[in-house]
Amino acid sequence: MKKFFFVFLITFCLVGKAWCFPTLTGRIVDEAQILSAQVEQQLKTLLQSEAQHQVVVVTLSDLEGKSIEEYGYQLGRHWGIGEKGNDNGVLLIIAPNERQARIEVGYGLEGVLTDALSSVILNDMSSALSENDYNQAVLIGTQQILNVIREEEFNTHPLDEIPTPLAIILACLILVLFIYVAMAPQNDRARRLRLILTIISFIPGRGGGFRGKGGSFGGGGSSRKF
Amino acid sequence: MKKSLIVFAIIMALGAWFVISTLNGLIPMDETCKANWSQVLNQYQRRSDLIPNLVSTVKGYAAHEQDTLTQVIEARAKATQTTLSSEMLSNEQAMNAFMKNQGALSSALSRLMVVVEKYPDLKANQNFMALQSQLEGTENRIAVARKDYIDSVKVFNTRIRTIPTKWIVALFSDMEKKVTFDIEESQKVAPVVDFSK
Repeated sequence: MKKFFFVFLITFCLVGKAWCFPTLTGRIVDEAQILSAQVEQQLKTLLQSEAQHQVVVVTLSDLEGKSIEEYGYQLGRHWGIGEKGNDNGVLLIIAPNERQARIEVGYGLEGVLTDALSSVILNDMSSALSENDYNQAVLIGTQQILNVIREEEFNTHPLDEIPTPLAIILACLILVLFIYVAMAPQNDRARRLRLILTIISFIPGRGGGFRGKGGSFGGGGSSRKF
Repeated sequence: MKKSLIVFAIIMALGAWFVISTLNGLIPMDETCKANWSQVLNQYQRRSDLIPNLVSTVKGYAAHEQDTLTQVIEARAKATQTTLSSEMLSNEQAMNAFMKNQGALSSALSRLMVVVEKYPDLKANQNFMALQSQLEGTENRIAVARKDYIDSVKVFNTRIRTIPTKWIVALFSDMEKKVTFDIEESQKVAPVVDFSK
């Protein structure tokens, strides 16, 4: 029975519909494990400097037999990179095993980061890519993408990573609770509160507070084999 | 006597409400199909707009390929002649004609792109490289738009052919099953590159 279930799960994954996308853990999703920690840090600073548009660097260990073009826009839609309505997201995708790279551009940025420009950027990355210097390639690519899209402005509210009033109130409440518990005498009530606080502190954060905001993709961008 | 009249009225009202909500439920799906279709049209239009530039660039370097260029121009002219408004999505014949012409343009274009391989100067031309990447991007957008359209039509057609919606539509509405096509149609005519030439 268990075996049957397992087979079923695999077929389910393989038969289209259920794509197996990596989880969006932050602005850099290094699934293929090809970026060094130092470069990741550099990239993070770079990408965070762009508050308006969402740019995500992703390395894939497997394209699941799809073309990088098909995988790219589906992944962008799945994650919802960019803002809903503005669709101002960009994915820089590297698939080292299939030896392909792609810049996937959201609908809203297709006008600035045109296919031709994406192709030029990939061209600049290509010598580093063919030498398997993924760190260098990704740095070049990210920098250039940011330079291009920085000029485009939308009517947006960069809510990303700015705490909402509710979050502030909650944080204050928890802080007050901590102080209260620390100062309270040892009794059942304090112990109960401490238990609650311990539980609260175990609730995981939302992966650095980064998430997609419902942007969509329509296949714009460019790809390259290397 | 009066009681049964009231019961009858309630049943009628419920029935009417059911019919109306069923039909209303179809409208968003219908609209999604139409929106997705206009996206397909947009992308085909975009491709068609790229062609004059592409042809004149290629002409400058590869004047010997007049045949291939003429084929592209003719296919483009034919493809732009046949349009298909979003009101005609149930017309299978019109859809087939539209797709046939666009498919012919696709294959003429891919033949041109194969021929171009013989001209290194052209391939190194900045303008041509930009046009080529735009063409690739547009072909990709066409594929995405087509798939989105097919997906939305699938949802619509499934609903419209499911009982009791099928009966309600037959009685109270003129909505019809929409025509779809193969996802990969444009990729079917992939050219074979012959390096021996």
